[in-house]
Amino acid sequence: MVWTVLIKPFKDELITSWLVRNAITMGVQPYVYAYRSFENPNTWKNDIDIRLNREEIQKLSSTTGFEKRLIRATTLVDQLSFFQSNTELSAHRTWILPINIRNTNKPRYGLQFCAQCLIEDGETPYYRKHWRLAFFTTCQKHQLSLSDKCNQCNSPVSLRKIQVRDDLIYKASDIVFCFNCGDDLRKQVQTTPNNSLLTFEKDIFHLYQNGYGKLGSLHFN
Amino acid sequence: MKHLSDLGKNALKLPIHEKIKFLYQERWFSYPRATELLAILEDLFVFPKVKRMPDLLIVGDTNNGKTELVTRFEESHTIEIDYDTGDIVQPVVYITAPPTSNEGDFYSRLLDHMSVPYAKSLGPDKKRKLVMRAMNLRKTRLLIVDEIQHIIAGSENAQKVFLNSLKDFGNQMKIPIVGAGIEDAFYAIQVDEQLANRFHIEILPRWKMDSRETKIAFATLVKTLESNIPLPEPSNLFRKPYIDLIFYLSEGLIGEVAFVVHKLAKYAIKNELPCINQDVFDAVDLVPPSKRKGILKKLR
Repeated sequence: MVWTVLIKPFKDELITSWLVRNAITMGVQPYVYAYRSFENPNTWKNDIDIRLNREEIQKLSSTTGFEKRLIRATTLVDQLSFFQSNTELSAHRTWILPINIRNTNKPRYGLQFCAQCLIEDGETPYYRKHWRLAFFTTCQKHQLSLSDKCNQCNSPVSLRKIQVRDDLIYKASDIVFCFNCGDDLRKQVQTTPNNSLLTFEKDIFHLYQNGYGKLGSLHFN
Repeated sequence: MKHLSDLGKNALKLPIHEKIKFLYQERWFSYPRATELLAILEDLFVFPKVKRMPDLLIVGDTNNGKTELVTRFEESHTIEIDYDTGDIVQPVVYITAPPTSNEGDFYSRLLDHMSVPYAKSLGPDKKRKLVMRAMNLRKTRLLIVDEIQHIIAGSENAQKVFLNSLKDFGNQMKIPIVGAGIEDAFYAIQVDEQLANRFHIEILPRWKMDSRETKIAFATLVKTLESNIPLPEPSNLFRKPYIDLIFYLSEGLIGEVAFVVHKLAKYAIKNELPCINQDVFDAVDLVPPSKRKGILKKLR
């Protein structure tokens, strides 16, 4: 069964961002949307940004009507091999910032964001995939530092925890509000990082986007 | 070849099994009462949003074309999807009433039809809110509930509760509700005076042959049906004695007319006959709907 109400994911959008945007537009809780889309309540209990196997992608493709290729591109599964070798040997994923899935005792600041990027997105803000990677702390586009928490209540950005109330109408752009206190996450003062950091991350960004490049004196292909 | 439509002419060139496939394809053709009803539906569709929206009940016997009519209306107001922004405009929503007079099941069906995911354990109120949200987002202007007599599946009280909830739903959404069903639906609406007041009734009557006009109308219907039968020679089913036979066998129900004509045509096509004639009528087993219960007697 295909859900006909669907917003197409942006090219560099994170899968959680995409699914949550769709869920709230329909007024459906994200976890309900997820378990109906995957037809499996357990898939959402994993970090799908980095872990999504072939069957799950196939299932999501058939319920959303989007190509498997497009869905796979919203996850980091393909880029992981660029900076972690032998991903089959361990379930651990290096360089990915951990997010809160089940354990909510210690807040984990797993998703960073550039407030300026979200502001410039206008009516359709979305979270980029690479904002979950540990070695990116700056925004290459705006030359500013990334933020990782709400200014008001210091909670991490937790898209999975957004609760949909049935007496309110939501737009897809409501993902810019903190799940805890409702404050606008885009109200951040972003610092300007120093030049060497920016240059360093620029090379890594190139590596991440293309899968090859140089880093200092190292060459990757 | 003059007896054939363009489609029919083209179909003559097809091999036998393709001809039969063509025969059974769903085709819409208009007739005066259908045109009237479609115009009435269109009026409801453009009705301004007022406090007491008008509702309509289309009553007709089984197999007389109610479903075809309302689905034709739904198809003429297509759903538009913008895949980039996710905006959907669904001006007409058509569902078949579930076989219970349970509110929750009704809203579930609406949600399923509108492809909105929901937790199965959700109560009817929450489902209703989801439906309203989806319809508002999609700018729905009309809801069609087919087989609306299914809601009388429950007790008299359950019927009343459900029908009132439906009326209330239409009021809140400010959209007209069009029910389509058999005679039982009419009686179910009469249960409540307010409901009887709100739901205007339109009948989709059986075809008659009791006056010059009705005879001409029925003959036109049969002629139109015949024009899509890929047989090389005209069968002239709209003339006596065939027209009377067909009327007897169909008992004035348009679905039965199509069934009879197509069954005869299938026989003629399979046996590569040039047209339908008396022999075909004799060869094919045809029983009018009211006499079908008697078929079981053959078992004993």
